[in-house]
Amino acid sequence: MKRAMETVSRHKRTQDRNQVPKLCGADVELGNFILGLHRPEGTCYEASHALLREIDGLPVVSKHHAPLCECQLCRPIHGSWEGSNYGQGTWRSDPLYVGGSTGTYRDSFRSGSVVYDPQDWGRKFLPTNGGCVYIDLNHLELCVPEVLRARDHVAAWNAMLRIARQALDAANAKLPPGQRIQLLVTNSDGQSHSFGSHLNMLITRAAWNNLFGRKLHQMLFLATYQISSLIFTGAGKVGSENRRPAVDFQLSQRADFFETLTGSMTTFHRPVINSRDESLCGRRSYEHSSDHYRSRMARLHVIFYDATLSEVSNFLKVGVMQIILSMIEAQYVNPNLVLDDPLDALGRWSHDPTLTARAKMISGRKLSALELQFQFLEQARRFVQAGGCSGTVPDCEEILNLWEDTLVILESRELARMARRVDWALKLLVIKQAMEQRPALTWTSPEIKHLDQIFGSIDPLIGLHWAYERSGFLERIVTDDEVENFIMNPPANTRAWTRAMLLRRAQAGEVDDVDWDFIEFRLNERDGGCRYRRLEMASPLEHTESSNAAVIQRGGSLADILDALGATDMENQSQQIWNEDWHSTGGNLAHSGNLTHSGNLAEASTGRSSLPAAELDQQENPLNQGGRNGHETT
Amino acid sequence: MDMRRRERRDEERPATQDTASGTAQHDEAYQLLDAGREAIDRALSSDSESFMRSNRQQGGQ
Repeated sequence: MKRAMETVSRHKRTQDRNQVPKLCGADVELGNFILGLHRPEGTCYEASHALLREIDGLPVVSKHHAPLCECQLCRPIHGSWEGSNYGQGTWRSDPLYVGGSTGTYRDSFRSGSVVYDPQDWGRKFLPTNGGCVYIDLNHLELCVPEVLRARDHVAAWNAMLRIARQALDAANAKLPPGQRIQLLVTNSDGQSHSFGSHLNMLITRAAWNNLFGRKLHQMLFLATYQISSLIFTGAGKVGSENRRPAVDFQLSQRADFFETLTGSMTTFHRPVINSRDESLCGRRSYEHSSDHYRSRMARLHVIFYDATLSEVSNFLKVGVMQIILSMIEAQYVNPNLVLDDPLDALGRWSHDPTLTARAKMISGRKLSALELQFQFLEQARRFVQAGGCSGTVPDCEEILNLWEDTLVILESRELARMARRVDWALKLLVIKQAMEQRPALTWTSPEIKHLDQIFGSIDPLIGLHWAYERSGFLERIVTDDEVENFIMNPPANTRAWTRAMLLRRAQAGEVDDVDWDFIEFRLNERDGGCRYRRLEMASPLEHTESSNAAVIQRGGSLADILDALGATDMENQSQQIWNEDWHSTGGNLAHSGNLTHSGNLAEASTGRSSLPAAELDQQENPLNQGGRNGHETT
Repeated sequence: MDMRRRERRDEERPATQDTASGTAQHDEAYQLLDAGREAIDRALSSDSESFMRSNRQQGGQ
């Protein structure tokens, strides 16, 4: 009880100053294909489906991906994509598919209680750790459950990799001789096909509105941080893609594919700062309506980073981002730390493993990514020392110290030291070693590109990263026990805990639908009928072990537990939801959600949030040296 | 933190350092790096062209 009270008290303090704990999730697409099976279009489809079959999760069949259901809930939705056979192999009849034979899907949209995303297939939530696995555009996608600590993210990400590895072994055992699935932690196939690894960071709605609609220098500050952080977050890549200038080796897998500063797209014309406004904190129609978590919270969908394996890199990727977003939320933004041309800097710095290239700031000064990172570090340290991360970023001192130490190591330019912590440095070192072994090899040799790709193979016998981890060469952040814990258990301090526990309690067929912010159940009644129940989990910070363990461990039927947790009866709610959204969008489903991303800026600029603009109390906030309304410090 | 000092040091420093010639710490690191030699050899002796032909991914998010 004392622990629960402390948690609530901490959350209340952060709410009072308009900040939220920097909860983090992640969704990562993996490269997959079957070596030994030839198809003109490739074998991603076969590989991803074979892998997903080996992973246990719920719901067994999602109503949104199964053949059209005629139930009361599904019937109204049919009209919006009638004729599509998503998941059946004839995607291109889908009305959301654009761009002809080489096209892609538009982003997902959300309508009422129903999410329809043509890119998702076979979504399975895991009763073990509350995470999720599905297929996204023929890539197996791993979704790390929501966590509060960067350290937990590292452990949970490694747990998801081990779950995928088990699926890989099981799927390979069923393939004919001569065929073997390759499962790769990478973001590009080296042939200009890129796929993402996204962080999902909790921020306040006010901070979101500032970033995208009111204070665009904050967006530039964030972009400048992200781009310069490539020096410790890059996975490394041989060559260039997407018609970018030729280079032997670069820091980032993804850098060549970013073409604009901001935007809502993720599959083409990719932005450094993604403006997808899908909070996963309750139904969208409520987001501006009341003083509630749903109106207070937003999700920053960070599509910029590479999928990395080094634990130090992953710890810093999440931990420093938590601190930087806390600074933005508190409006502790130094407008001098802004690049003049972020996309130009991205290209220069990614293509420069010597870390000496400089890019122009808006002040006219030219800085290297390393120099800029030291400046971000200096600002962040001041912010943390003044209590700016209290209640929002656990372990912030540890994050700062490791960040500084890693920058000092990068400053040494000693590749063998850098390689212990940073993926791109280890990959570069390995390739240099291979080229020393075989002098005939060049940067354009297929063998070198092969090494680049298998560096991140999940197969421990093939993936080079794992060989170095086993040897003790790589610096670790978490123990194997912590990783094993997240294979079987959810994080205790986020809603992932209740998600996992309820999925464990449900019998086969009782879970009708699951998403990050709700679960819907179909419970059989004694009279032979069934009753649909929906548990909203709008706040990712609630429904934790400390708040719900007593209810769930008390026993009783699933219906009793749902009653105690406040689940609603869907029979009435579903029609109400449908009616609300249908009427509020003028009868046009496509206008109810993310298809209207272009509206984000306009919507945000109206400042419709029920919250005042983020500002820290001048009396309490020594960081805020500006005016009363939270002007930035410099 | 004196950024001018940092920038000056940056300019004085060679762009890269030869990792093979270094301290005992580097030697140790290189010994540990040998742990990957087997995996590297296995990859280099396999059919890299076939691997790259098969590794045709669909563009994603």
